[in-house]
Amino acid sequence: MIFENIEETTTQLERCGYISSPEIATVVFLAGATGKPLLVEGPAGVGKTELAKTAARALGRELIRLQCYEGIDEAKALYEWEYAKQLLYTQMLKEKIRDIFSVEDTLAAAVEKIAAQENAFFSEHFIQPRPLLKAITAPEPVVLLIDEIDKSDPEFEAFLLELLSDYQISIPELGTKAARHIPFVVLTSNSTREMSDTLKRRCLYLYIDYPTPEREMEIVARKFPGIDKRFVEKIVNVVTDIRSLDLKKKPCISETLDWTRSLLALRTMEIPLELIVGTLNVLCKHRSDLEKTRDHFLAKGQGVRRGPQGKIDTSP
Amino acid sequence: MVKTIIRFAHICRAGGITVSPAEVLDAIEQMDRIDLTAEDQFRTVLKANFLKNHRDGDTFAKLYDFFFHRLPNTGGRRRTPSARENLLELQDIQGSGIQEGADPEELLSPLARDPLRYLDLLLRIQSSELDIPEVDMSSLAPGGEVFPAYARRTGIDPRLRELLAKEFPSGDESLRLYLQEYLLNALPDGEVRAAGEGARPIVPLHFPSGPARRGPENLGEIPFQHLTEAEARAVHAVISRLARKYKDRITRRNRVSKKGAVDIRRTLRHATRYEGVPMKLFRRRRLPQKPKIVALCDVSYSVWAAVPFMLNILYSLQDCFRQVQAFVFIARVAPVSDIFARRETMAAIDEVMASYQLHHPRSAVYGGEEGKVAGDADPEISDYGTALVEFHDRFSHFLDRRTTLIILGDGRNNFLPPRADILGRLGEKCRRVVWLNPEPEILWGDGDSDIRAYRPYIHELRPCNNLQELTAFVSDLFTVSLYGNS
Repeated sequence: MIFENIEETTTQLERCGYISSPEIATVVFLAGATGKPLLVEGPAGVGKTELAKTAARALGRELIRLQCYEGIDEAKALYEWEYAKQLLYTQMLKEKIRDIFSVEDTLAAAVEKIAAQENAFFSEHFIQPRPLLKAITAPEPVVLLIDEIDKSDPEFEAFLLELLSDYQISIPELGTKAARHIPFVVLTSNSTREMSDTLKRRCLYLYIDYPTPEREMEIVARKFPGIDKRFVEKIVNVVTDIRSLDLKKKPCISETLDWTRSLLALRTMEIPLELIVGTLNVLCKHRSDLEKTRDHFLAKGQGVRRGPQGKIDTSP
Repeated sequence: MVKTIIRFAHICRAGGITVSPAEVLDAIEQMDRIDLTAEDQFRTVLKANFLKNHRDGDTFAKLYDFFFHRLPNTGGRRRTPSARENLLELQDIQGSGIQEGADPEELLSPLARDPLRYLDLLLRIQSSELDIPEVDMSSLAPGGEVFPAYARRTGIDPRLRELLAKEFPSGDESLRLYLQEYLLNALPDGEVRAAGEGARPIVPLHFPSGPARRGPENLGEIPFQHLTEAEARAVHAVISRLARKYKDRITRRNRVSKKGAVDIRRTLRHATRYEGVPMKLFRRRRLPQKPKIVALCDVSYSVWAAVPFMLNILYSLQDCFRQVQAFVFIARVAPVSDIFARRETMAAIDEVMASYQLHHPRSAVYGGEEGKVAGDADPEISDYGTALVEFHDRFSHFLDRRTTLIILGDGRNNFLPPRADILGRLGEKCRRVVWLNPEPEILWGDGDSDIRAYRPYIHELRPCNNLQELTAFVSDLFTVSLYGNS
């Protein structure tokens, strides 16, 4: 089953807890409709991985995830022969093998005979499927998430090309395996490395930025049902304000949610400056960012205090 | 519509966004699946297929806006009432930003009879940031007013240039030329010309426009001190793209290296699978020797235009080096690396430059250098001798056998002692000394330039006055220091 149209995509995603923008819904719909892989880029924590997970839930498909890292290779991504199992079987079948050999007089004939049995050892029985092979051979259509593709090496990226254009995989001993169903492929990247043009050409491209305040409010309200709307507005305003500063790592959606959780735990409905400064370490994860944000809010606080009296409050 | 999308793809290419034919086909195919009356869906399809690099996002948004909202639709007459054209029709009706209530088509069509006034209107609208609906040029009377083609063209050209220069200041000449050509053909004047006036343009497209700067037009060739602000931004953008490219290249070279000592541990661990038979050899990854960079930049008035670019490229690439240390001087040497550790690269550059750019070398302008004690009383004039001595005494522990010392300066020493021997001593402590001179080569050694005195102690002396020369330098820096053995 695949999305019918863009409106349905939006509602389906929303039903599964993902508030999408029109752009996100359009691209997800197109990726589903055309069977093209979807390359999602954007800063950390804006919900790239979540998008794939939600798409899987919304489509009622299994999610197969391949986490990329530096040095990942075919053996980790595609399949591996289970040498240990093969050895174990050889040991156990020693008697049987000896029987086969015993009737043969010459070495050549024995080799001939054992070669005839080769299929027994290089069969699907001894193959350890890794995410990509799983996604290709799955009996039901799946969602394949290739996470943080930018962390992998360029060779691995090149290797992915065959998979993404033809949806097939060649295993020398077993032949080429074509996909039974074309999986819904989502690749995510944090742009630590520029992806090659050839890979990009095969994908639909989606850049997810920090959400607009409206969308973020919706997300927070969604995750904390029953929360006061004005309180959400205050929270989102503070986070948006922090994002406007020049920081090493800006607070992302998941940090907004964490912060909301902390504020709820503190049972507060107002957000005075002292509280912001006191709970900043939930939002800022670098020491320099922390200091900069604190200074920003303290300066703001002085501005507020100075305002009505018209003189500078020098108290700390 | 297919034609429109193809034209738009052409414009994207001219704007530096690579769009392959396959992507154009994909976009056209996907148009069938969306609701063409909703413009944001149409835009998203184009964006998802054409734009594959977030950094081009702004360019794309601008081009899209320019192409679909401001340009006259040229295919107007051959329009068929298919569903696909609905979108274009829609734009004729919707999005009026000028006057509520007034029919925009009515408002604009008399204007559109006269391309000059139409362009003026575009210019006006552009400066007031208003959005205008697309003008249906098919409503034009074929002849329009009787207007000699020559006058039209001469009138149109400068306006087009002005319009495009304002719209796309980031200095990509090919884009501007392409759009100019496109517009010239698209405007009704093109029809008149095709009707019989002779297809030869009277004013060449490449004719330099009025108040433009003399000299090179290519961004890579403009001397740093002549860059406008927008161009300087563009240069910085090019530098960060470049930095990314080099970072990629380094990881790539890193991985394919198949030489080096056998990594016993990994090999044995892998061998346990085969009953201890080492089926596959693993080699210890040989990390290329990362060079350490120490940069010493003159920030006096004559040179400082080049410094921000130099600092930007060094610090953007600092992951590729073992260490980057930068110092700036006029006469006194100040380390700036801690500023870069504290702040983001561009902000750090701003901070460094802000503390220097107001210091005008007074005596360089008003004279009176004679009899001055070096580095004394007036620290604001370039004094390479004093700076070198101070650098040698205070900071030479930063230099070692893997260090490349880069000096950026014109060597204009205001007739003070050059102390080239100190440079010699510094050179002995490090692997290479590279001197980048932002002055044109012809002026080296002229007047108070002491570059000749320093020359014997410099391994490499090269000009560095524009983006091209800076790029060439960095590329050589990598080849020599990472993969060479000199």
